[in-house]
Amino acid sequence: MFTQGFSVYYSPLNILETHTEGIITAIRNQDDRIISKLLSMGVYKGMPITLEQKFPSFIIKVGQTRLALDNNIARSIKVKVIHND
Amino acid sequence: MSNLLFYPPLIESAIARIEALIRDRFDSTLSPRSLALLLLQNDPETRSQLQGEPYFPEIEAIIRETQANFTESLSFAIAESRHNLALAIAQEVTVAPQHPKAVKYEWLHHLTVHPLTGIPLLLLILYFGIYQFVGVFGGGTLVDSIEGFFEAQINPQVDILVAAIIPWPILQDLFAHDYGIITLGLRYAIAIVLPIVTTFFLMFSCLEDSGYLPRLSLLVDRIFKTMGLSGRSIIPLILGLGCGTMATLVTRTLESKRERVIATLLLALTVPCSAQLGVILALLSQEPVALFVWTIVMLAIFVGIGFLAGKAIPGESTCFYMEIPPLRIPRPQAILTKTYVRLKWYFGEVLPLFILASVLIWIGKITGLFGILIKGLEPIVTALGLPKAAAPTFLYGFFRRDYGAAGMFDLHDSGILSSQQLVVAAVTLTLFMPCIAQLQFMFKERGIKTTIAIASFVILFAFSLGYGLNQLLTIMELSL
Repeated sequence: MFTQGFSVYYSPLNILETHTEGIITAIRNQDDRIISKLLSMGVYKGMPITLEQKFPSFIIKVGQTRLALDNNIARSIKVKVIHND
Repeated sequence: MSNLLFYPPLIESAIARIEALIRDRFDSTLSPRSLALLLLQNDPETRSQLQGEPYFPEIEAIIRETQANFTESLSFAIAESRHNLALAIAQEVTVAPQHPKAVKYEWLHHLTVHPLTGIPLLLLILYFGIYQFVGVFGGGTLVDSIEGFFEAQINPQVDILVAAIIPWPILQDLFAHDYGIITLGLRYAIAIVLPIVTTFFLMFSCLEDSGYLPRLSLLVDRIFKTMGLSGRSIIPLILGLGCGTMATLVTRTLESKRERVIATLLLALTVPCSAQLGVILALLSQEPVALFVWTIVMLAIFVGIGFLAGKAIPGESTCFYMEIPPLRIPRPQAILTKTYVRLKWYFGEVLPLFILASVLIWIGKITGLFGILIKGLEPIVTALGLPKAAAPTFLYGFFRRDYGAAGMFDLHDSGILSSQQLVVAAVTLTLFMPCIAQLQFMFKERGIKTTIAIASFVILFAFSLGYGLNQLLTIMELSL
């Protein structure tokens, strides 16, 4: 149970199902510029996030902002899943 | 509530210690507090400015020490404090309605971004927006009526007037007759280019203001990644269908140098500008098979060259992120203003070049220089299976791509070109050198070395492909 809880807490966005809602728990990427771009667009730890679409690009809603991301950036956003349908 | 921004105590004390080190010792337009914050966020520019200072190791020690207390980078902690304050201020001053009403046009947003509905919608927009509105209406109906008016009313009057004022035939040719500034330069600019460019800019401004372009970017991102580009580059490429010169300027919005070079290459080689597109669509629409062959060949070259360029041009791989604004109905006044400003810019660039082209053609003709150049082009043109009369078109095409295409219009009207020749000429001219203005902007944006490399590749590729296509069409005995 613990391992499952742990992995759900830090699920990278790209493996989640469409329409998943959650809270951003971490943002990790080797490229610092990507992290600062995400921060400046309001994507940061503790924000509620909804995954709206996965193909052809990822579409997320963070707060009132809607963003399109590619797979590499989506992978760097870790999410605690709250609601999944 | 205070609007002052305070960071976590550990960061505040680090700021105070760095401030104490740099105050009165380092001269900068920024306050010591801002400098300290930039250093804590690992800002490369500030770091390199302070690198040589004797107290820099001490600063680094403070940063390391502070960082040891946080699991994530200090940038995070700093950004978080800022966002929390912003959220608190926003909450204080905004009232949320009890029952938030459904966001306007939400259904339309989903239609535009879902691959199953978004791609057909994209094709519809391209078909009606570019083919029907710009190509058929702008390049066909409008051009025909204005051009007809010029040919019937203005040109004969100009010829008579110039003949009355200037007694010397050589000088008469500068203003009137077949290649004059007024009868050719001004006629091309007003009758052929103006209607096509106006309709294109109207359509582009509508797409821009409706918020559709970011949605278009996210639809094509995956395909564009195979070409070393990101979805973002669709914006300069679509703009290139309007004006390659303006599009080359817009490539500076792209993220990496590699992306900018690939986009510039594709713009120079494959993307026809609206003036060219309008003329080519008008020419080829009378021959549906020819239009089909041209479209397939251009698309194949676009994807093929993009793919190879993505492999060959070194640099980091692209990333894609973009904010998606809500869809809106564009305001007519904003559209008109934007179109007007763009047209003004365009004509500021273009009109002098059209006039210059007329003058150069005039000089070239009276000095015999053009005769020599055209003679030199004739074997190449013949190798493409084209009549010798097409050689001047290629030469004029260098002054402006659309100018060359418009020259082809005249050739076809006089019935010299067969359908196969038409396709070969259309493909070669589309691929051929961008106009002189675009070349000038390539130098400005990409530098001399890259531009010369791109330009030589474009010329070589255009003629070899034209040659290959002509051979292929002959072998296949495609009756066009």
